[in-house]
Amino acid sequence: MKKVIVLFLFLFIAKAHSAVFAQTPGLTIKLLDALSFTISQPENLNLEYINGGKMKDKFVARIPDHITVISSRGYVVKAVSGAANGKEPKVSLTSHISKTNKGNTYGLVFGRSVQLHQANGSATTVISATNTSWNGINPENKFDIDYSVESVNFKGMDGTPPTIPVIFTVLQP
Amino acid sequence: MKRVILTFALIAVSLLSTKTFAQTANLNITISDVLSFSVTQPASLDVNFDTEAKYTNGITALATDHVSVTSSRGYVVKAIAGTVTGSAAIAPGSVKITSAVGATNNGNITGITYGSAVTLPVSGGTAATVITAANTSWSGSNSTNKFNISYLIGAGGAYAGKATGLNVVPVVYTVTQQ
Repeated sequence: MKKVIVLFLFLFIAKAHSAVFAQTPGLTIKLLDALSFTISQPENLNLEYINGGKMKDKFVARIPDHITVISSRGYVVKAVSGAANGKEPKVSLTSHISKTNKGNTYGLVFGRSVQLHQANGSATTVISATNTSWNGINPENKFDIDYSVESVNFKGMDGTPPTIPVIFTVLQP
Repeated sequence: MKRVILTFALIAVSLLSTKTFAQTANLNITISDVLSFSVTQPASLDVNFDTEAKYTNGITALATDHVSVTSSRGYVVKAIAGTVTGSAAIAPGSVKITSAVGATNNGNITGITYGSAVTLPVSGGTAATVITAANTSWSGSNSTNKFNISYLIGAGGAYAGKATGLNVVPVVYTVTQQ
């Protein structure tokens, strides 16, 4: 019994001599939304004629790395046709993940042959992402876009072809 | 003969009058451990993640003269996370701590080892060593070691995809003498 008491006394003294002091500052971290978005404007938009067989013939052009999105959470990219000069052709878009993309691809949904509404119409969803674009230190999602225009739209046209503005928007839902 | 006796008598009296007495007083000096410690809470520890650069690179929050230690011998400063609160369930491991000598330090810096990019352990884990001092903090009459601490918070997109809002990561510092 005596030995136990001595042992406890020794431990108590040892503990008392290795004094410990504690202080606790706090890191206050506020997370806010971050979103940025760029669209490239290629110098040449080379349209390739596609014979649609039973379907309508069309012209298609793929623009690599056309859309870049950096978003701290899920996002949606929409598009609508602006006011075209001349007759408004029917344009549809198809989105693909870019070969140079290093961002997060989990939860991406790509629009396939999405028909653009004409000016003043409602914007159509081209890409939707349920998650952030960040993949570790790589913040960007990059997308290729296929523009497709039915060839019937160009029949009977001569001279300057129509200019079709396409207005993209990105938003965090 | 009379003169000789007188001279001896004079010398004897002279010797008696220059007698020395000695006494010894002891100074009983008990040296005990002395240790004190403080950590500041500067405004620089309030950070906002609101740009893509901050989400990608993280934010470095520098707290100058953040930790002060006065110790009569060598000591170790350790850090560990407290209970994290907030909407994003932030992982303490997303905080890295680097220590350096303080801007106004006048204490002894011989034998100090500074931690670099030390990952903040989760509450309940083992505290990580941030500063090790092999010697006392005293440098002459200057008693205190002061340290700058920089917190690298949320680098590498660690907080991307997390719920927005306010979060608090308490950092529990402890100091012990070696």
